[in-house]
Amino acid sequence: MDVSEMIKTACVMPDARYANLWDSIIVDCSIKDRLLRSAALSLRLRAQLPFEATALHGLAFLYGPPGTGKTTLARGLAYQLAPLTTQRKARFIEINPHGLMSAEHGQSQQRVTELLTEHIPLMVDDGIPTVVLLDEVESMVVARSQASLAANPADVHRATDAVLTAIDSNASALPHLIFVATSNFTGAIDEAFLSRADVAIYVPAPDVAGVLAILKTTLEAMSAAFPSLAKLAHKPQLQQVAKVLAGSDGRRVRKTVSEAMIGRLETVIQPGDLTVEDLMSAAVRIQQTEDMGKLKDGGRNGTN
Amino acid sequence: MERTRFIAAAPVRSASEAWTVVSTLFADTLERSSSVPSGSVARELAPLKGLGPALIAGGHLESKGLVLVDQGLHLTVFVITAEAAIEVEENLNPVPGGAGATDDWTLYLPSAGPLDSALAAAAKNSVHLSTNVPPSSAPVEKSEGASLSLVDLDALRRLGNKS
Repeated sequence: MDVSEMIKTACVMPDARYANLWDSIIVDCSIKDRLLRSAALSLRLRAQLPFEATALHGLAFLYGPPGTGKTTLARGLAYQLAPLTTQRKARFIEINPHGLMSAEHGQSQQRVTELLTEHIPLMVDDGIPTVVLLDEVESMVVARSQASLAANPADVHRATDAVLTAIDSNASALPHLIFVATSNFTGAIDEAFLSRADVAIYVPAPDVAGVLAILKTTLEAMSAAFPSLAKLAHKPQLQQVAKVLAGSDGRRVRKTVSEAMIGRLETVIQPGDLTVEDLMSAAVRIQQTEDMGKLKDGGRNGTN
Repeated sequence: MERTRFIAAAPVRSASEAWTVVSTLFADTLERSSSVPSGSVARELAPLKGLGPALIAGGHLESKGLVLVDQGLHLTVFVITAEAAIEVEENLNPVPGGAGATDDWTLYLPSAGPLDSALAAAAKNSVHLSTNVPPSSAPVEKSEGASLSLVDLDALRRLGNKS
């Protein structure tokens, strides 16, 4: 497979498709501020100073439980960055890390090297500030200290080496290139990769206020088709629903609304008839399901 | 960043065809820059039209490559023959760094025994060909202005006023 096929997305901002991604993720504003500022500072310092002075690799790392908006934030970053650049443009590239790993001996390392040191540098040769998303990066930079050679063949270890080498060489040669890596499994990621991150930002599951805000924005967005949902979005009792859902991931919270709609045939036919009671029933169902899941896991995912 | 490319000659392709591949690689790389007009690289390499294939046929580019240098660009091209040519993995894509090339690019020609005087004569009449020893790395950018201005500080300040 050609490495160009590992590129899922490549586009230059501003692009209307990316306009609302950043705002759609409801997290503490300090998370967005840190991500955007670190990207701006990386561009500013690395263009002016040698690597020896800045020690900046142009790598931001977002980690936390699944469904909290890490990938969406990374996808929205370039759009936010574009108006802060002198060119008023920023490119966004998304890589499919899973596609880089090959069953053929030596192929993973070769593909990683070709992609990160040849293909992407060629794509960004025009000097436009560029954000490259390495989503679910644990598949690309397996922790060598914890991986056995039986479970992870030498090729996987060499692929990790190749990523590190590429990040090092791009850090100084391409000061307009920024990598954003995301992961749910920090324990599975190579320590040398983590140490190269200029900023590591934890994206937590939303608290009560966050859940409430997500519920409100979801209902308001749906009110475009079903206007009565706008009224529901502002009912004070929604706070109680938010309390039940606190700690669930943002994706799950959004889906609570549709989960509530399927609770009654009437609200499938007329979603605008949704009530706080419907939402509360759905929230309780979801919470019970999550509790059962946690019992089954027995704390297996302690690295998350 | 120093980059290396390997091009296959005989038995994969003739010396003349291999030279065309090499010349095209140089042109595709440099002419991505707005400072290097389309077609200009081929014109500059014209004095090597007979010499290039001779260098390849004589095996002179197997261990000592042609070195293309400009700011942000340092490319060494080796041309491989025989069994190694069959196994070589070619990357014929333009080389990263070319989009920022200037009109001051230089192609350094290796010493090639009996061909040295012909190479020196070709280089003598060209501003882009040289028989000198190539630099070990790409020269740093002459104008720092371009690299200093990735971020608009006023836009950043406005961002601070918003939050």
